[in-house]
Amino acid sequence: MTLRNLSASITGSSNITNIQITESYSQLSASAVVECSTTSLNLGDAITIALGYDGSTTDLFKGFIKKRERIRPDNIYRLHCNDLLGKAVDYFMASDDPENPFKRNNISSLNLVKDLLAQAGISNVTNTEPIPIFTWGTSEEGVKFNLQSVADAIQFVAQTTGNTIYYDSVNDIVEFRGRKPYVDVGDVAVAPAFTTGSAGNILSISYESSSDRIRNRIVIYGKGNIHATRSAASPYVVVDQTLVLAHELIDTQVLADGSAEVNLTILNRLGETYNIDLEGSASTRAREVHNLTESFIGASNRPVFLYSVSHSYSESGWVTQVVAIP
Amino acid sequence: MASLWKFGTVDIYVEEQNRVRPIKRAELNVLDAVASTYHFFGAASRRNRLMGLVIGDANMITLDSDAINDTTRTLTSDQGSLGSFKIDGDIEADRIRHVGAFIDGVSYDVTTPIYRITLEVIPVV
Repeated sequence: MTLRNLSASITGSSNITNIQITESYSQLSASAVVECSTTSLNLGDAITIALGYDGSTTDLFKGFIKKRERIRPDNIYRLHCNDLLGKAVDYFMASDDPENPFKRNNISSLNLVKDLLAQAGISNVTNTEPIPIFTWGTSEEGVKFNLQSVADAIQFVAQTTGNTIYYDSVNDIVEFRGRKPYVDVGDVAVAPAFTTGSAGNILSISYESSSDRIRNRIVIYGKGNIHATRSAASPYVVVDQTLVLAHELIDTQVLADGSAEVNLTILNRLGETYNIDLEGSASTRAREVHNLTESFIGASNRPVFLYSVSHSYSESGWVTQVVAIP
Repeated sequence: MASLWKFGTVDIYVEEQNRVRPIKRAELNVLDAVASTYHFFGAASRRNRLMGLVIGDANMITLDSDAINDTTRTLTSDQGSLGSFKIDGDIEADRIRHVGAFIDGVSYDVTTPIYRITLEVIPVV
């Protein structure tokens, strides 16, 4: 028998009854929902959520209050929060002069993302440019963004270049990385390993393989007549499955070719997914690689990429739900 | 003779009393483990349930009033004061049929209503 005392710490809040934290590769901004009977937090206030055992907690979420509810008859507050990139979701780009929108020329993907995030007041962004480097706005017209959120703009840049954007709350920095959504060459698994048995942590697990998300043909339509196509055989599909990316901001053949190649690499692979419920773990974060061992599923020390991680903390215990991709 | 138990000033001739202290401990079961893992979340408030007699409509009206107004009262037992409490949940009261009663040394004639009540109270911390 293992006994643990749950510990939770939230800025300016006490009598906590429920916490949900969700971070995901596909979700630009991590989110959290907190229920408590006492809080001094108001809209826009900074919030840090830490979870742990036996009085020792680890910060798992840093962000801002987006919505605040008061609920009766339960007499509780429900706080909805987003991390720093929630600003990018909220900030809608609309230039004063429609003829003079946000525009850049000859700019790398990282610098473009930095300039876009600056529109939303976010300046703590990585300085490491992902490889390969793509250049935007090489024509005289440049690359323009208007009438869309900063989040949509940077996610378009990220998707086109095969990169991902997320807020690293531990180091307080927005990352822009060529992190693929699966275990890649050179990945090193970190603790804890996901295992069963008396020293294990897996409460439940399921595994599926699917061809639904495979795209073995990528078609890019850019500005004017710019276009690119890449395809490869897949043993898992019975007919070619195509992804189309079409945008006038893809204004060079190099950008179109690069986008087709990187998206084919990411998407032309078997869709294997593990859904795992773990005993609550503060050392389990999205985008990490961990080793998985479970006999019925047939995984033995198999490295898996954590596509999404959700922490659920309540009187039913602390459970960490993971979607993992090998 | 007054009762030993009182909610505020209302005499309750308690016949039974029980208390419950719910502990919030979740049981998790790791696959292939041979023992459970428990997560202690905390504890809920102690709940006291009193079952006994209340004499007269005036006392019942007072209890009703305390319940609907969420009034905090001192709960007194045979062991002395138990602290401040509120009525929670339903006040169940069944009027007893009688032709005269003798309770704790006091006689009540047939016109005096006597109720057998069940009352749940929670401490105000």
